[in-house]
Amino acid sequence: MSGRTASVGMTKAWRDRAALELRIRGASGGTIGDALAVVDAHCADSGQAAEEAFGTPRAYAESVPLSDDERRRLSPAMLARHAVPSVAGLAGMLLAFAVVDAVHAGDPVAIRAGVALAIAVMLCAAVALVAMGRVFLRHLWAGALLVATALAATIALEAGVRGTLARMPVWAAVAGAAALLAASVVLQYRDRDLDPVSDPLTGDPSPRSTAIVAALTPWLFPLMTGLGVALIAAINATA
Amino acid sequence: MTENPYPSEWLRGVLGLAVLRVIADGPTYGYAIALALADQGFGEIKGGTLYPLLGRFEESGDVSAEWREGDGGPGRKYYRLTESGRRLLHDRGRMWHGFARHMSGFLTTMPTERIER
Repeated sequence: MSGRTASVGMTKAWRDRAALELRIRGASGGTIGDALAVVDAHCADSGQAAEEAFGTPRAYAESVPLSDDERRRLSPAMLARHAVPSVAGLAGMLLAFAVVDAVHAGDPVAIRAGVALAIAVMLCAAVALVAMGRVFLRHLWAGALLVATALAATIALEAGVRGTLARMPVWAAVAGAAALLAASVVLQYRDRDLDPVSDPLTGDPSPRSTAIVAALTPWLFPLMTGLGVALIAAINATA
Repeated sequence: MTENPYPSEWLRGVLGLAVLRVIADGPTYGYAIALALADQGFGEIKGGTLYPLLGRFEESGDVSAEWREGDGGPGRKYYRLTESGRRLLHDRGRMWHGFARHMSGFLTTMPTERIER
């Protein structure tokens, strides 16, 4: 036994880590709530700290048996589905920005090579995030670094690579952007899997679930598009 | 905590059956199971060992579980032996009995003639 005095039960860090590691394995909110409540109950009875009775949160999370459904949830195919709405939303947003510039200049909408490359880079970053999701969830700094690098590359490509791949009439570009944004919203709603950690006794969701963020997420790209279009139009008007 | 008089690798093999045997006395919760096992010479069974084992018995349908309100503290998860768990305990219990008898005979009968030669 260690010399330091450990508090009884779970520290917040232990609880959060165990919940995260269970999520990474595909555990449902019900399974996570049950696994955490078991630790609460046992530690209250034995007077032990969670680390003392159950070891590291990761070791405990890996020992919790999951149902077949839960084991299938985080298959690469299921994860790839979640990247599609974001890519559609991003493409729709960038197309909408191109429309604003085209209308200002009175030209057809130009699909620029830099923008297409930027979308390709974001797609690759999304695939990498999904494929190596476990690594990035455990080491958030690595995930942040990947996202920051991809964003920087996107901005550099968008600004630096000249040349136009195609031109399309404004009405076609508006229709395309609207369709892509609508697809991102619909697909996000289809894939929405809130499944909060729930108390096994009462079935109540944990109060830590972020309901507002979850409700806004499907509308992220339309919101950003609206803001961006307004901003670009304002800059064009003053220029 | 009760001293553990037996090698831990022996205990590991029979722990699952012993857990089923404790639950056979009636629905009970994890910490009470750990205390009953300590009384039977298992020493301190860590939560990290006991609950995954109980979880696997739940998955296989040998044990069912239900949460009950705790008095003052957090709720407790009570485990109950199912019919399939009862059969498993009965069958494996009999096997264990035969195994122990066989091994006792094997381990304690010395080849005296060969040593003398």
